Parts: sequence; C-alpha cells; structure tokens
Amino acid sequence: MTYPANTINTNNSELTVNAFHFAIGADALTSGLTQNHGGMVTSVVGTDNTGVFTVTLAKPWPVNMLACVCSLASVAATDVLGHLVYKKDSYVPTTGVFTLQYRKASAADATAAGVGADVTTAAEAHVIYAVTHNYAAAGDA
Amino acid sequence: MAGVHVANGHIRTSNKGLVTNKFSFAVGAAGAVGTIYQAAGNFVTSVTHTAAGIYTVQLNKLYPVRLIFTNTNIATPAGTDALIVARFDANSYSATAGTFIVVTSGPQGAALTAQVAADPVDGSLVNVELSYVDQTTGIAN
Repeated sequence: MTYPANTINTNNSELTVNAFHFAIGADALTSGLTQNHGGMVTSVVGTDNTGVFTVTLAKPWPVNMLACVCSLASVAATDVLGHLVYKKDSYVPTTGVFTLQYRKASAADATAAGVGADVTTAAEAHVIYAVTHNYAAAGDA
Repeated sequence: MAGVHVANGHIRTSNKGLVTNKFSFAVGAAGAVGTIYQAAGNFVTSVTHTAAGIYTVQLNKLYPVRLIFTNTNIATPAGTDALIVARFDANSYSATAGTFIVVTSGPQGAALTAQVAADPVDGSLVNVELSYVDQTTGIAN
C-alpha cells in the first residue's frame, strides 16, 4: 500500500526489543520474575541443579528470535564466576519457549552439561532479546 | 490492514518503552575513577570508588523507575593484563536515590570461580550498558 505523506507508519512487522530479569534461588531454581517489562514473559523455570532455565514468552509468540544477551548480576564481588548464555536454536515459535544455560568459568567445568547448583543464591539473571512478530502475512505489506 | 497509522499531528508517547543507555569510566592507579564517557545529556552524575572492587554510580535526575537489564565489561590496556571482571550488584539500584553498584573482581587461587574483590588494572575502561523504564503506570511490572 502507499502510506500518506507526513505520517508515522508502523506495521508491527519490525524488530521488538525487550528485557526482563529473574532472581535465582537455592539449587539454581528461579525464585521470581522480578522485572518483566510489558508482561512479555509468562514464566521462567529453573531445573533443579542443572543450570537450565526455561523461558516462556506471552502470546502472541514472536516468529523469530534474532538476538538474546544474558548477564549475571552478583550479590558480592566474591561470588562464583559464571556465565549465562542463550541455548542455540532453542526458541520454538509454536510454544514461545527458549532455553538459557549457566556455565561456570573454570576449565574443569567448561564442557559440563550444566552446573547450576553453583549459581549464587539471590543472584539476578538479566536478559535482553530481540524478536520479530512479522504480521505482514495478515495483509500489512 | 493490520498496521497502526498515526497522523503527524497526533504523536503520543507514554514513556513506557524500554530505554537503552550506556557509559564508560576510566580507572587509574589504585582503582581511582578517571573520566566518565557518556553521550550528551549527562546520564551519569558521578562514579565513586568506595572500596576495593566497589564502584557506586550516581545517575542524574529524573531517576529511572526500574533497571531491567544491565551488562558490564572491562576493556584493558593489554591482552596480557590480569583478568578482572565487572558485575552489576544485584538489587543495588535505588529508584529514589538513583544509585547502583558495580563490583569488580579477579580470580583467586587455582580455581577460576573463586573471586576476590579487586580493582581493574590501571588504564582500564569499565563499560556499563543499562536498559530501563521511566515509569510503571499502565504496564505490567
């Protein structure tokens, strides 16, 4: 279609960037979705002592996950050092689910499947992600 | 047509969108704070080295209501410099005071995961990225 001049046009097909953070409790179980801008996350579930966190987005589920960056906030400078990462290709657009994985920084644990038990209790996981909804098929092109 | 089209005379903003900002500060000898690098607008008022590995950041008014995503890292003068990491101190942000804490630490002993508070190497640059919202009214969380 031809958009009128001097107007702002948005077709909801563009990139959406949002963020949330959640608290990590004992045994790497989540203890609260403490910041959830716009309510775009339905739940974050930590699997006991595995370092695996399953995130479910709210509907309508985005079609594509283009970027996901994670950061672990600490409780103290002496907290165990680790990294939270997005699991490659884990996003499922038909369920709105993706996976985050915790990794310790030591060489011995670098290849472990998950060592979530060592995530410091009360630490915060901060996540920012970019998705597309792509409603163009509904006639918005 | 699924799109939303807004005439130029009816631009409406609620400040509910996610805002991303970033700044850096230089670190000198003994952890002293040097120049703060930021975009025009003076998002940051000051950074204070309050103890070894502890940096308190004071934001400028109007203080964001919530910090949702934080990411920190340290640029060093040389690749051979000691590995010091920077982390956001979980739950340290005060929306009424506009302050939060960045902690820096380095590995202790043979295990990389054991950390001790430590200042960045002289000549380092601490980079901080923040995503925040300015108000909560009318939007979940």
